[in-house]
Amino acid sequence: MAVRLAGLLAKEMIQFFRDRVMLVLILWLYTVEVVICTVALSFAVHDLPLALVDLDHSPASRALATAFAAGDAFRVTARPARETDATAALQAGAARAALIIPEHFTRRLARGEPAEVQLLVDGSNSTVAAQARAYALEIVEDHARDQAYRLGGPAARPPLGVALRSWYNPAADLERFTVLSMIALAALMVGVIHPAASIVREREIGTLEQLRVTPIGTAELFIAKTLPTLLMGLLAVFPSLLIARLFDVPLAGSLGLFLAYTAVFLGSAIGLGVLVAAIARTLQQALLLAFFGLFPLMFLSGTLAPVESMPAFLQRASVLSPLRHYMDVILGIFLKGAGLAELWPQGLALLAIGTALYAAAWAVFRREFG
Amino acid sequence: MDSALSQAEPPVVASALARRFGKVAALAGIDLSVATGERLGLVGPDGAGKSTLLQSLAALLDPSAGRCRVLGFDTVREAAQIQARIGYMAQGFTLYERLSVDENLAFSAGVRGVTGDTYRERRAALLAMAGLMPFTERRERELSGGMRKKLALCTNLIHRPPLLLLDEPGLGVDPLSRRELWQMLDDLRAQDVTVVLATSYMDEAERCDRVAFLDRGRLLALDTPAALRARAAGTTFAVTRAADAPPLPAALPGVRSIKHLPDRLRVQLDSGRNGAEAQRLLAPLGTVQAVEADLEDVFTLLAPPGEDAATAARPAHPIAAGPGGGGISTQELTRRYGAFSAVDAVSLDIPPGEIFGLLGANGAGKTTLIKLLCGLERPSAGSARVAGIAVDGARGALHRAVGYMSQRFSLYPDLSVAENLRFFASAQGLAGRRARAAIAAAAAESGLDAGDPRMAGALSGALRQRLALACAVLHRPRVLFLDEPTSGVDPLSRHRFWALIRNLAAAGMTVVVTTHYLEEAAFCQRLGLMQRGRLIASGTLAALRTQAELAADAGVEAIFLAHLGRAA
Repeated sequence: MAVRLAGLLAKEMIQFFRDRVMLVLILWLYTVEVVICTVALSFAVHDLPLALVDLDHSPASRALATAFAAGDAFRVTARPARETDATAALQAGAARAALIIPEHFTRRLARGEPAEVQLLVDGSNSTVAAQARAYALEIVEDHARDQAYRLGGPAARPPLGVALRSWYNPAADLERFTVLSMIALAALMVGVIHPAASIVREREIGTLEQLRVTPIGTAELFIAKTLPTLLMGLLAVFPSLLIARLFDVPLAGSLGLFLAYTAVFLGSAIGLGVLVAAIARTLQQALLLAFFGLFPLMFLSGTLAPVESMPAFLQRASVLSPLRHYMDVILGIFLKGAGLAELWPQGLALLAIGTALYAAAWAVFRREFG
Repeated sequence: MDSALSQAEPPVVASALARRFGKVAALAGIDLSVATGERLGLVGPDGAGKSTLLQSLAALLDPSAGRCRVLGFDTVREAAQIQARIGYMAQGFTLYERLSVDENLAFSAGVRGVTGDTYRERRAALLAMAGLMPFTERRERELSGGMRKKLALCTNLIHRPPLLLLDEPGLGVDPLSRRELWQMLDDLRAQDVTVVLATSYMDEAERCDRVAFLDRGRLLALDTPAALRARAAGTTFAVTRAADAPPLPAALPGVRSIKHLPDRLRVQLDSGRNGAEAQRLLAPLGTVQAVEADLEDVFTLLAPPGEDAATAARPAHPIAAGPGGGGISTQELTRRYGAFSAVDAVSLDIPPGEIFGLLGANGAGKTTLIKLLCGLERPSAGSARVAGIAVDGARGALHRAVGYMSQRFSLYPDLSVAENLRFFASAQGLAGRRARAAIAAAAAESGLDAGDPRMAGALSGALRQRLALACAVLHRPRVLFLDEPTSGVDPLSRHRFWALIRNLAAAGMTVVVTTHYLEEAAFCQRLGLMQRGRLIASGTLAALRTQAELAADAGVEAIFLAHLGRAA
């Protein structure tokens, strides 16, 4: 038993380290992909092209325009004379937002009448639009407060609520969240795809059948097909720790606890991978099936959209996604320094899901290959 | 202009054709011309350049030097014109497994612009010629290997190509289907279609007008089969040995090759050694009789001894017989899939140390029978004992007693020779000194270098075949199952492989082997013929010949067909 298992594990390790494509892919997933996604997916609005129509031509209107140009959010790319030109720029995609300062803007302000500016935002990307709107609101409100202060003293207008501002100033938090969720996703993808690919490939070249004519037992084969992925998944975490540090996400909690939770989480992923291999006949099918399984897990995990904003039945279903619990764990350990005292419910959930998936994988594996 | 072909220019002209892949010269200095209506056979060992030559003619590969004109077009500048006109059948299947026979044919007609009445006419003619009319609705993947090849040929004939390039059309096809495939090729001959085909079957080469012998990219000989055979004339002898003759010496001077048949030796001497000298060399071995040379002898003569010269050691230790002996015995062994019986009530007895050959068409049940005996499939009814162990019992003991080599030479392509051997030794529970000894012995018996650092995927077919054999006998099994172990391997390597098998059997290993090369049946002590899951006849070649009431000189194919005909 020991000889056979050692031989199987040695073989898996040689094959793993010899497969350059797989090695690069895994390293890529845990590092470059994390960086790319974090940088690209941070929905912070920068340098949004803005068409500015100033119909008032007053010091006040110019001050507002300067306020827009001064921040990071907008870059004034055009100053058309008429409103229609601004809408045309929006239509053409030359500008993503347009600010129209109407005539009599200053006069109204001076009289203490409500003065209005019009903001048109390209809504084709709703996230960007919402942020643009929020930025613009902030700039206008800031400006209005300054003006009011200047014109009528501190009591003239109430300061604005804080809620709005804290809502759209999350750039740093979002980045941290994205880094950590990409690391969790990488663990899930590698955990599912690696065992699935290694089993299906052996089936394709016929060695799986060959192994069945040796004294190698089904349990030994199952261990040899799942354990290396677990070890490798744990090792692969380390380069991504460096990436996390790069994005100013220090590991506040215990590394040991993080690795332990990752191991349990990988158990679920590997179980899924074996289930995929039991159904798939070719490598191509295995990859497609793996993605088919990965997407619901990802959508239900809260990495893309908050779980709280899902319909009730999906919220209940999301409890079954190991990624959701792992996200809680990884955010807790990294950002809040949480320990077992806080994270035990997630631990239990991950253990339960992992055990169920791993057991199901074992049952299917025994039926398929035993 | 439809064709640049003038009356004078032959359909295939290669001049100083060369093709390199990196540092490897796959083809070098090939000069070749094929006449209209001619059938040219390409033979040669693994890696000789047969497929590369066909791909160059099909304008799929550009030459590194020299040039090729096909149907009057240049293969580099006018590749599209060539490809629109010729038929090219690659070694792998070129059909769509999810499409039916009709859909596959319609697709290939569609891409070649054959439509309407022309298509309907040709479809009917081709399907009738291939005998596929009753199966037009069947999906490709549900066809037998032979039917697939015939369909692939049909899809390549739908546009009436004047030139057909076929890469190993008979590979993996059973003798019966192969005959039908050749019937189609003979019909084409009447239509003046030029055919260039690569083959590892010498009987197929024999049916060609001329045979080109390639080795390591060079054209060593190009002649008619008769003229080639004349080169080996006078060098081949049958030697009948007395029952009490001493064992053969390890090396015999002047002897090119020895084939061990159950009742005699077939000896080929180096060219030039004939007449009196042959008598002097061979007389001490037994009764000598001159026999006619065949194309395989020419092959042996032309192929220079490669890296894999047959230096295999004989097993040093006899295979230990277990408590239940080392043979096989089955009673009414049956395997059903639903209503279909893949193996139907097979009863046979094979004594220890015998080489037993299983012959039959694709789908006759040979592979399923072997899988039942290896414990890979469970019997639906009946029973079987292999080396005294019941096949439907615990598998552990059975798997220690049997070795199995599948059709696909199942090895890890990304592991080296040494790593494959080490892994399969550990799979048998062998470690440390025992593993090293087992690997050394198996490698020696298979003529392999146990420390070879090359990846298994990079080896030639013949070497992979021997590595697969070594992996299968590491644990010194009492019974060895070989499922088409010689498929796609050149005649010389096949012959060497059989010498290895004979050595193992001589040490007491029982060997069950399937093959589509009927000439290999002569190496088996007894044969079993299978048809539709049933064992329709078994016995020595001579006994089968008598049962079929055939003349004493009837060949294996005649015997095979006579029995299949009687059972049908």
